[in-house]
Amino acid sequence: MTEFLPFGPGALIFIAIYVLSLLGIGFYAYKQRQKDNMQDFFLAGRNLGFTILFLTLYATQYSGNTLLGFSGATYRNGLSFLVCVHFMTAIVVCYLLFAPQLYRLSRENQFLTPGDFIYHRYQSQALRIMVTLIMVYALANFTLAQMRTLGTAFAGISQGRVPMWAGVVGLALVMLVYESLGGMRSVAWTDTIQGGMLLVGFIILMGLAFSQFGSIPDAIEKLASNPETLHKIKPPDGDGVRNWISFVLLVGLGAAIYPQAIQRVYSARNAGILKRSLATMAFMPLITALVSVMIGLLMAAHLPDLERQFSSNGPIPSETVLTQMCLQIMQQSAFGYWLVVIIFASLLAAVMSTADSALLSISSMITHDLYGQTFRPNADQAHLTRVGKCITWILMIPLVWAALAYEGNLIQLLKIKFELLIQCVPAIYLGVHSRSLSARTVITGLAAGLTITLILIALDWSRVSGIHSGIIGLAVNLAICLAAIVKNRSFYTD
Amino acid sequence: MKNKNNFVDPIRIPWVGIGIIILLVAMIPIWPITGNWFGVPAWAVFALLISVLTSLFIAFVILRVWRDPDDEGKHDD
Repeated sequence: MTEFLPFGPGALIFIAIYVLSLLGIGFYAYKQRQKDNMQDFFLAGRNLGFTILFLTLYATQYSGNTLLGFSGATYRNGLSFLVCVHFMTAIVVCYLLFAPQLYRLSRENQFLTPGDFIYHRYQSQALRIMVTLIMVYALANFTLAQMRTLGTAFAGISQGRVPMWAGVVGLALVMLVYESLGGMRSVAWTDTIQGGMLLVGFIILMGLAFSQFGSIPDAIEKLASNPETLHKIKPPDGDGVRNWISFVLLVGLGAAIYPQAIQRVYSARNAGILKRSLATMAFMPLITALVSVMIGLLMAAHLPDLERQFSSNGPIPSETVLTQMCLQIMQQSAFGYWLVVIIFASLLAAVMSTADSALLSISSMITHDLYGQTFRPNADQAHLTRVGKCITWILMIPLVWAALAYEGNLIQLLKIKFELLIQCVPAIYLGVHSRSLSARTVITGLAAGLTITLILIALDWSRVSGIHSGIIGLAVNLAICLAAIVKNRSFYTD
Repeated sequence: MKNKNNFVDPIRIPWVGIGIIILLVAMIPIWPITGNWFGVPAWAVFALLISVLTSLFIAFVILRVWRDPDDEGKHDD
C-alpha cells in the first residue's frame, strides 16, 4: 500500500506522537470514569455530546477502505463507482427507519447491546444468541481486515525499519491499553481526534488532487478520448444497474445495524444530540466518498496503465492509486511531503478508529449477551466489566495472529460479512415497528436467509445477475416475516 | 405517528416514506439523460444531485420531523 513512499524519520516521529497521544487520552478517560459498571464502560455513561458523537460515528463509519478501496474501485470501474456515494448516504437513510424507535426504547429499558433490544422485543434467548453470533462474526471479520491494513500501512510508513508484525502487535497493544482504561469513553475521544484527522486528510486530498492533476472535466475528456478508458465514463449497463441497486441495499441496510453504530445511538446524551449528529452524517458521503471517487477518476485519466505495471511484489494493484498520487506530490516539495505524512496519519487513524470500535462492540456482546445472560445471569456489574476487559485482550490474540497469517482464502470470508449481517435486518427494522412479529417467525426467516445466502456463496454465485447473494437471502427472509405480519394484520400498532 | 409522550417517528409519516422511495428510485442510473453537464457526463451529475437532495431531505426530516420527549437540552455539548 505504502511500499513506494519514501517516508523519513520525521514521519515516524509524527506517528509516534500521535500514538502516544492516544495513550494519554486513554489515561484521561480512565480518570473521568464515573461508575464501575457496563453502562459506563461500554456506553460512556450514555453521555456523549454532539462533537464527540458525530466524530465517533464518522470515524467508525469511514475506514481506511474509504480512502484506498473506493479510489481503487473508481480507478477500475470509472464513474459507475459513484454508487459508493449513494450507499454511504443510504446508511443514514436506513438509520431513519429504526433509530428513532430504538433510541426511545434504549432509554426506557437501558439497552447495552443490540441483543438487549432483541431480547426485550422477542423474549427469546435463542434469537438473541443467533443475532449476537452473526454480529460477532461480521465484526470479527471487519476487525481482522482493519488489523491487516494497519500492519501494511505501518510497515509502509516505517519503510521496513519496523517489520509488519511489530506494527500490528504494537498498534494492537496501544488500542488494547487505551480501550481497557476508558472503554467507550476512550474509544469515542480517540475517535474524535481520528475523525478530525480523517476529515482534514480528505480536505487536503481534494485540494492536492485538483492542483496536481487538473479538473474533473479535463479528466473526463482524457478518458473519453482513449478507447481503452472510454467505458469508465459510461453509465452502468443492465447487470451494472442491478449491482448498483444491490450495493445500495446491502451496504445501506447492513452498515446501519453494525453493533458499534447501534451502540453509538444508545450512547447519545439526549435525542437532540443524536439527531444533530445523524443529520450531519447525511452530508459526509459528499466530502468523503466523493473525494475518493474524484481521486480514482483523476488517476484513471492520468495513469491509465497502472495495473499493467509491475513492482518487486508483482502487478501493481489499483488500490495503490492514492499512493501513486501521494508519491508525485511528496517528491515536489517539503510542504508536499508533510501533507502526505498527514494524509497517511489520517489513514492510520481511520483504520485504528474502526478497529477499536469494532473490538469494543464484540467484547460487549460476548460479555453481556453470551457470558452474562447465559452463564452468569446474577453476576455483578464490576465483575462483568472486568470480564469485558479480559475478553478484549483475549480476542486480540487470534485477530492479530489471523491478520499476520493472512492468506488469499480468507478474502472470501471477509467478503461475506455484509451478506450474513443483513439477515438481521427484519429482526431490527421490522421489530421496532411491529408487535405481531414473533421470535419463531424471525428465527425461521433468519435461518432461511442464511441458508440461501451460504448455498449461493458455496456454489460460487456470490452475485446472481448483479444481485448479491445476501440480498437474495434477505428477500426470502423478509418475505417470511412480512407474510407473518400481514397474516396477523397489526403492522404499525403501538 | 404521534403518541402521548410527544414522540413522532418520521418513518410513519406518509410523505417522508414517499420522499425516501422517490429519492432511492431516482438514485438508480436508468434515466435517459445524455450528453455532458459542466463537462461531466449528465447521468453522473444527475446521480450526484440526487445524493445532495437525499442528504438535504434526510437532514430536514431528522431535525424537523423526528420528535422525542428526550429532545430537551439539545444545545448541550
